[in-house]
Amino acid sequence: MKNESKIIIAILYSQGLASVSAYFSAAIVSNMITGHTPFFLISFSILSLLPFLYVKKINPRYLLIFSFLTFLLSLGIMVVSHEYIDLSGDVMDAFILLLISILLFASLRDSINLLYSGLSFYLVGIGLLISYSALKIIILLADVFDYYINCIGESCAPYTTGVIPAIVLILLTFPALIPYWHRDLFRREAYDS
Amino acid sequence: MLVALVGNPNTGKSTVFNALTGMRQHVGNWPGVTVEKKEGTMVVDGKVIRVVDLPGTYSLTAYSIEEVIARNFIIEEKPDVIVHVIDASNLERNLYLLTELLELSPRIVLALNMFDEAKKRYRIDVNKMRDLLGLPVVPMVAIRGEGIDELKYEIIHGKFNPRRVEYPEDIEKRIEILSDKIKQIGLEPARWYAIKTLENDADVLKKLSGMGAKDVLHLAEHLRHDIEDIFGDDIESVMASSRYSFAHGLFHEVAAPINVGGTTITDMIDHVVTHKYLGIPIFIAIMYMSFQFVFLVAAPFQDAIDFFFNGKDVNGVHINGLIDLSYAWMSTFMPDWLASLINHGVLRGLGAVITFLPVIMLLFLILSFLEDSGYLARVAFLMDSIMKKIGLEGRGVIPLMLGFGCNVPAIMATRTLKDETERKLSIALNPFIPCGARIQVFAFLSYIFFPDNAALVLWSLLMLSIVVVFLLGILYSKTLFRGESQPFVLELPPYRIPTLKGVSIHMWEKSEGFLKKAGTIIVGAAIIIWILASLPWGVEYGSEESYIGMLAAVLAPLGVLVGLTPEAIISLFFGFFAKEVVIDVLYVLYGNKGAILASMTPLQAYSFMVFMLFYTPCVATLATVYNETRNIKFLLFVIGEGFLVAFTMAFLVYHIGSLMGVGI
Repeated sequence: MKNESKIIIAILYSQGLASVSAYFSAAIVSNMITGHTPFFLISFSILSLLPFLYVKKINPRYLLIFSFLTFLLSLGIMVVSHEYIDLSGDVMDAFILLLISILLFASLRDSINLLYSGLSFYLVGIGLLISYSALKIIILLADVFDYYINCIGESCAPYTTGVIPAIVLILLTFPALIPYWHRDLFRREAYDS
Repeated sequence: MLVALVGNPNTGKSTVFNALTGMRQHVGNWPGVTVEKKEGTMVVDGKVIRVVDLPGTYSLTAYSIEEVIARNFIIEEKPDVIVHVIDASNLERNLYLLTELLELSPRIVLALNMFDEAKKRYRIDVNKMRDLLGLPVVPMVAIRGEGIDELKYEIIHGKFNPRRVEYPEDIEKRIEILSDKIKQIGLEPARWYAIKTLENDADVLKKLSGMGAKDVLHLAEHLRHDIEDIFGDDIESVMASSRYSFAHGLFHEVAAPINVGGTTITDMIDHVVTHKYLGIPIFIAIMYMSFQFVFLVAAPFQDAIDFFFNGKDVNGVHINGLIDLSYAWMSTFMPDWLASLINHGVLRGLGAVITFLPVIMLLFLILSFLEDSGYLARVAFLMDSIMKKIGLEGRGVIPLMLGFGCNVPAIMATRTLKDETERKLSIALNPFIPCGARIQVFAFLSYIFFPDNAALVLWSLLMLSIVVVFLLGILYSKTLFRGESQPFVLELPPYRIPTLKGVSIHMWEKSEGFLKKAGTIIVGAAIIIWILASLPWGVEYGSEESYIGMLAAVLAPLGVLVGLTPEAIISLFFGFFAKEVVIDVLYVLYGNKGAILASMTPLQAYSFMVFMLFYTPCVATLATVYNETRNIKFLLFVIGEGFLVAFTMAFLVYHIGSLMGVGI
């Protein structure tokens, strides 16, 4: 497969990642208000179909296939997450995840045309996503450590936790790194355009 | 009068030379080399001016003969004016040479040639460029003769008040040390020689060696290794990167690209993190993640240290810590009061110091990481327009941000502000930024009183402090500290992954400062607390009959107005020594976490934190304020404003909260 095609598939895929991030953000807020995640939030997966509004340069058949796969993937993650994800009660987590999704959505129109102006939002969005996820995983490890420190001299049950959004997001991020490795294929917008 | 034309190759320098001198020119060679030397004259206002066209060069290192000719001419012939011809359509790349010229001469006129081409790429704010550089800037199209008359005018009548290119603090300190040494052997310009010696410039090293200045060379080598260690890169790259930061920062200040995006990773990241709408949300997210990292990762280490020193209660049974074991052991061979003083006073204080160490180290680790990666410079850039609203330049955000670590280095960091009024304004605002110690106390109390929303409570306090700083800044800058902010270039270094060694050095330098301060003040305060809680002899430790209990009774009526308990007032009193002590005092007075929780309503606890957020800074900060200003009236003003704002805000929080029935 040509590198250019890989980049475009990765960018279509990133819109699914952005919709999952937006979903987690809304789920955290909803979780704080109602105490559970309403099922309607699954409609966030529709956001992964955003490329249909902007992308003109790809063969419509391929666009349909890859966008639909992304849609299914994000829908699947959201349905599973609804049952098993351990959501934080921190509104700032929701804010950061929303910011990440905005950056990734904002990158779409220009990055799909292989322009630096799109790649810039894409890279910062992915960078922030990796930083956030890595931080949350480090904090989880620190929390486990803290739990056992506080258990010294006591008989405590083993530490338990659900899957946190950061673990899902960091695993999903790897395929989205493709545009970074092939950034030399991007270009500036023509001056006279 | 002698004028030298300098510039990168292919910037239209020869066209400018021809336009200035017309037919009055001759061409030869520079002595000893086959590089062409063009010289001519021009007549302006009846004055005959000699003009020399120096060889085109990208920098002034000693790598090529053109570079050596250009810089030696400037050092030896000392031209009255240097005309730096810039290809304005490649502005950023051309500005690198300017950073080197600024080190050699203050009298530089910038000729922005090919300005018509440049206008297709960016909108260049020439007036802002003049203000930022303090130099005449002439937009021109030499090939059509546009701007030549203005250039001639500026050569004769131009006003020169150039800004200096500032290197990172770690380098500036070393340049200063070496400059002093070089001044002693009579070489001028000493700063330029110091920079070039540090940079391993072959020509300058040869000259110093020829003068027998071995001690200068030895010192330079030592300082060079220091810099290379800190930055984890060779000296040439480090210095070039610093100059590039200036050029990049200046370019971002004066040129708005018509088409967005850049070609380097740095350009691309900058495009987003300095974005008009997304820049500040990204900044808020990064700072929040940084604070989360500091407090949540430090927690297990703090708990482990706390357990080591103080032990803990499990189902009503106390597990002994070091203090208990040591006290029991010492009581066997020394008087009880002395064993208690050593263990419950000194050792407990020491324990408190070490408990805070993980937070302080992680805080400085993350701040050093953000600084060394280049992001903090972008924050200054991003906040420039906001900071101007409160009467400060963009760089003023750095001391305010450092205040989140510790107000002492933050107040010292206001030295970077050139304007004295701005500096005093920055110092006056700094105590309202909660230092790491206060944040630590807030984190502690938030977890006790608001276990489900601790981070949100902490965040609300930080936001409240920012709002108060902003409002006071507007008020002060229009009344007490009125002045005009000075233009300057914000350096924007390229992004890089910080080296572990560099970050560790910075982290240790700052943590060491905390340890020294803590080692004296906090341990001292802990001893005073012990004395007040133990005297008069025979009373129960920390009881109502002790001096500390009596003090609480006296201060109680004041606290009622803002919802503070007598014990909370006493802890605030001791917080004057060091904010960290507040937790220690609460523990002494209440005995354990459960008793602290039972002593106040959540609203009282929040009011207590608001009061602590704003009231007088610690004694070390006040000492620094005095050291930096040498003005006792200003010091009293800082103390007074703190109490006034603290009382007002806590009063509002407590009474509005009570009226609304929140947290009571």
